[in-house]
Amino acid sequence: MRLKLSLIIFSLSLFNSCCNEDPIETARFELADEEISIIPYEQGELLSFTHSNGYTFDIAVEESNVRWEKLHDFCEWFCCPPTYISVQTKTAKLVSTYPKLIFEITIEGNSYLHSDYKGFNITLNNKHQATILYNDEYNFETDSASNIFFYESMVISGKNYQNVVEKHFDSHYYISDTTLLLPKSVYYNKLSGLLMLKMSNDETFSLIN
Amino acid sequence: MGTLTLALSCGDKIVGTFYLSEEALKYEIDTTITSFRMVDNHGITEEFYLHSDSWGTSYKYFHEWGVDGNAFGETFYVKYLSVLNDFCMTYVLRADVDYSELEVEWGYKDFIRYNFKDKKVVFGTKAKVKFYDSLWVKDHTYGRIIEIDYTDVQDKISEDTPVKTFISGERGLIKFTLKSGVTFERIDY
Repeated sequence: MRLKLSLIIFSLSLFNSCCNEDPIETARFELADEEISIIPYEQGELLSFTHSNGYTFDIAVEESNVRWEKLHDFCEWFCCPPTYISVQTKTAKLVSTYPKLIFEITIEGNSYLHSDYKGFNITLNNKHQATILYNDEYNFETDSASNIFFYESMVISGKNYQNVVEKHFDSHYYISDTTLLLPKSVYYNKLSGLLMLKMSNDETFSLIN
Repeated sequence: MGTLTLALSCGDKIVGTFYLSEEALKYEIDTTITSFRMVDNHGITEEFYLHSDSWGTSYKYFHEWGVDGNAFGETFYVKYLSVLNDFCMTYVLRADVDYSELEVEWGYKDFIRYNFKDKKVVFGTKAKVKFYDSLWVKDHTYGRIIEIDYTDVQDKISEDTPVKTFISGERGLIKFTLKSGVTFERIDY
């Protein structure tokens, strides 16, 4: 059995090593300028947030970049020449010391989710995930089926914000008990980015600058 | 002390089933409490929940020494995780041949192993460990308190490990203070 397995692995590696051709890009998905601007952060920026009971704290933009990523499909082990697609991605990472929050906001050039919508992801602490949809004109709309609610204006921490989208978290990895005190939703707009995190007990963490 | 049929001289095999001591059993936390809330001194609420490991929701089991199925030690194991700040505390009571130990670990980084027989920390960062009857936290009295105090060695612990931790041997984690001074107290009895 062990011998058979070794032979298979050896044959596969032999086959792979026989291919000396350059990889071929089969598709290229570029972000529109309007999509890049949906994540409006610059690396090194410092944001002030306040908790609904008064505690204020900073969230630092540790990372904000646009890059191209090569995505290989499983075929790369067997195809010669190997193929890949290129996807442009913008990512921002927002980090606070206490409370210990890490937001990762990512938009990808190939993120068609529905026929009419594209979406970008917000992940909190690698555990709580929300996808916010936008239409062909890069605007947010209410889509109650996806728990997305659009507000033309909204006051958060005493400041009026335009075109705000509220998105309930889609999933909480590793947590099955939904009666726990969980992050409930994020509020976001294109001009300022993350405006508020709301917990399931209605405590909030809101932007104040 | 169980079905103790062992020979402990050098080179002999350990054979038998070893149970937690009476003293250690006093600190077997109620595992029907699967979650509870705590609030910090800024008014931020955090929820802790009992993590189920791969062996499901059985928090007490027999740990096997070696692979020959001849020796087992009773073990009580719970892990608390928090939803927002990702705190993680592991709490273990473990039976050895003629003693029981308590192990408390925060964030996979700092831990103490306390020997109930020798009444001292035998492994890990040398925190002070105290045991007393009760502690009043947020309008409730909790019993069978274990206090773990890293104050004298706080330069040796991670930022995520509390300088002081208070655990009720009956109801679990009830209070802790981080290096930053942020203090969490339990609000769900």
